[in-house]
Amino acid sequence: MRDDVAESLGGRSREQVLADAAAYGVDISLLRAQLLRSVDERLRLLEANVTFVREARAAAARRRTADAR
Amino acid sequence: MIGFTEIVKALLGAQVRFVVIGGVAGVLHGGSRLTNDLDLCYDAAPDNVERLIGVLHGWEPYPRGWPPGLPFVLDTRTFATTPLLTLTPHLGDLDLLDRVEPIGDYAAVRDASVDLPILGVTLPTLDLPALLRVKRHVNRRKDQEAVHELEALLALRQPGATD
Repeated sequence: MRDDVAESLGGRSREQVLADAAAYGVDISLLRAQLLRSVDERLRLLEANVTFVREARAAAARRRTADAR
Repeated sequence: MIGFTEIVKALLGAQVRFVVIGGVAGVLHGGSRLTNDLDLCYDAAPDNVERLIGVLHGWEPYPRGWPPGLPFVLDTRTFATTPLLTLTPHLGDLDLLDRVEPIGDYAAVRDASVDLPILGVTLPTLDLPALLRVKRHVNRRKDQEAVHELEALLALRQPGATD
């Protein structure tokens, strides 16, 4: 392990870092899946998710406005 | 709606010097956390700021959180007096910083970045160890959550990983 990486991980082993992250709630299998994707795919997926959330929020706001009338 | 891709391609096309930092950098490295903000560290040299302004003007930028309709001029003076400029062009939220703590100014941030191949171009992106340093430094609740994911990504990327 490179020195800067080891320092970034606080001197913990790779296994310990993954165990700590999983205990915190990080989905390690999801990260593995992400790493199998190209950088292009990761960015496209993020944009698709952001668009979905924005549209869902806008739709909810429209419903609230309509209900208020 | 203008997306992250269009923004970074426009900036690169205009030869603006910048580095992608923050949540989007985390996603590009393999993170899974959703983010609405595109955070960029830019070179504050006058020629670069001029080019940056030229691109931004096309998107009708407006400060995030301001009431609508207030006069706002985006020029070199605005950049000189605003180390962190948070804009809401009609593309979502764009945060522009001329330095990133605890890394430093653009030159230091660029030194701590990697060029990721994306969409036919190379995108300067803060590397994972530096991103971890920033998240630990800022240390908001959402940064604390991100730290665990970034640490896991760093661990998963190590050579010799067996699982």
